[in-house]
Amino acid sequence: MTAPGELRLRGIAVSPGIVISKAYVRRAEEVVVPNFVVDPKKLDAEIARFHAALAQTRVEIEATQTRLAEQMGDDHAKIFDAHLMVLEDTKAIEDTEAFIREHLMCAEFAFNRVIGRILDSFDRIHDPYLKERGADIQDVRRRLLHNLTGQEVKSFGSLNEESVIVANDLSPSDTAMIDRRFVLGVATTLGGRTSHAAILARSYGIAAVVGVEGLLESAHHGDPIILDGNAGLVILRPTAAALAEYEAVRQRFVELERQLLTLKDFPAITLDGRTIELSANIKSPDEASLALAKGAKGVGLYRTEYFFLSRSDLPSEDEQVASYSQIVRSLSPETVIFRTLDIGGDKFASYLGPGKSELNPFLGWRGIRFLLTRHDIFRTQLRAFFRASSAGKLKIMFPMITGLEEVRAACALVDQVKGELAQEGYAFDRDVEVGIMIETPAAVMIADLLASEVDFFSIGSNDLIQYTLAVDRGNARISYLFEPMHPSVLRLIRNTVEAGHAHDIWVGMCGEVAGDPLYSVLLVGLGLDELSISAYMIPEVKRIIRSITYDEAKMLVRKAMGLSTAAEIRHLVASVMHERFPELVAEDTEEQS
Amino acid sequence: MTRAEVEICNELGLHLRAAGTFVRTASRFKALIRVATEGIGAVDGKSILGLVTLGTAKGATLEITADGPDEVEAVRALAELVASGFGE
Repeated sequence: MTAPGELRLRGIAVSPGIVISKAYVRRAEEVVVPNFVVDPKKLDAEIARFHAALAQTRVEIEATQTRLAEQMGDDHAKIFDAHLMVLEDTKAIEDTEAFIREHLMCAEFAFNRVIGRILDSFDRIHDPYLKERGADIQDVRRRLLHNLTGQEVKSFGSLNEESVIVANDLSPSDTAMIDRRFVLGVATTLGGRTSHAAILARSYGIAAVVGVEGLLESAHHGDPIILDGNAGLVILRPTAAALAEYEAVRQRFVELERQLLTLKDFPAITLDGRTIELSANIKSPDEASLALAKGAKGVGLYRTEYFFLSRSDLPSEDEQVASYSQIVRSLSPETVIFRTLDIGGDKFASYLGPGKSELNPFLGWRGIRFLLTRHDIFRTQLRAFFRASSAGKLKIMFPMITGLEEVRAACALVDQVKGELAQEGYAFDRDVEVGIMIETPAAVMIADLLASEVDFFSIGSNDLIQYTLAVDRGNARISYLFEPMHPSVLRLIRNTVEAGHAHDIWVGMCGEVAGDPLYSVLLVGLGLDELSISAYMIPEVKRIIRSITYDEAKMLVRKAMGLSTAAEIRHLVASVMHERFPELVAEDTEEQS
Repeated sequence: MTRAEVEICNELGLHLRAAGTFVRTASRFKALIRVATEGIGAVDGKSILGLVTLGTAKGATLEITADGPDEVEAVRALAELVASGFGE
């Protein structure tokens, strides 16, 4: 037999990276479902056998869950709670027992039938994400059938050298069994962006291409394979020319990745010595480890509203203390900046009040306006912050400030809360810094007045742009007007920084603009002291900051400030950034108007 | 019998974990709970397998009915759960 030649297959790129390795092919193991008839006298024994297998499967799923929780964190392991519920679904168990009694068929056959009917109804589902969940039910079925028949679940035991896993699809159980030291990438025939294979690959930080038709049929165990997770390409048995080409591509990619990650423990400091605090935006305690892994210097924006939105009643003071302390402790000795509940606008919870019924929610009862009318909620949250301050270092900031009265009212409550806690005998940090978000043009115009009464400013770029340019980003007809490079926006940022520095307080920025590498040099040049961004973007932004001088950044700002339209500024910034960092910033393709 | 209609508002729809949360809440009540959507159903509200086969995506309406001593509380709790996006 002649060796089959090179084969290029396209799929969906779901996790970046380029791998040249060999294929570890895992074919779907079809469980042979026995179909023996049960002696009517032994029906009870058959049903007992079914229940024993259920119990055994439960133990297995729990063990897998524990193992996955250790490897990938509780969040990923949660899916197994649902697996346990599938396993113990009363209806499925009753139907199986009824089937055994009625048809005198063995438990394997009966259970397979019952689950099979449920899986059939998944064909009707159109939503791709929901459809993929059928894989979870398959997973539970396979486990139970294995336990009933006594067949062992084939593990990835023989996966003992670095490989690319090639499979039809990966189940959650599969992902828990894979020894991550040996998996360089994943390629599957089925699946989409939200399949378990994709989720696994992204959380391991390995390349993955899914939905590759014809992959499993053409791949042989041990085949040389090139996996391009950037382009969504799988090359089986590549020719020497393809190998050479991809070796060069891979080298470039690896080098970039390596450079970015080597910076993890280094500060974000310019070549001429200006340090920028580069911190992460997060919204739940489990994101802390990701932030640290990416080299974040603390958390610059902790969005507390998600804690409130993820439940159907108000969290108590103690519940809040527990949650805030956990996050502060896990980031210690770095600082966490908590933003007080920012409800309203586009974030609602029925039990909290502000609702979609407002005609103009972004100009409505939101942020500090809400808190100052709901002292009960505000006070409880402030008390929780201060109580959590004994667990580590934190700062507090208020959203949606438009006037000094709001700042004074909020600070008065802070003082009151501190007094209460001292009297009640709680230990807390008396010097917690209190700052405000700058996200309205009004706040910028009076930044000099505000600066003398707070400890720091953090510019909320999304809202500041939206309120300045009077543009609703969600409205597709005008969303082109949402322009961070608008001269008005740059002037507002500059004015905020100048007012803050004149009063010796630091000025940061949180929001999407802060995390876009395109704007990094400009923001440094504008004099911002801190950028709080998505954890994923930290390595890239840090790399840029460490490659430039503060002088050169200020030069870019001077040039930009000399231009008069957003299009001109964007063109300038994009071309400078692309020339300087071609691997991080794409070329400016938009026509200059 | 008590009945309510709620729109699924979480991004991923009534997926497996969301269905699990629904079942856990439903199981706290004695009432018999049935769930249907846009002409499909009604399935047992205490069965995760029944619920996921509805394949209810974001924006679809879930009809919840309960029959039993605590039917009013059950429907209210479940409707709130769905409206809150299953606490996601």
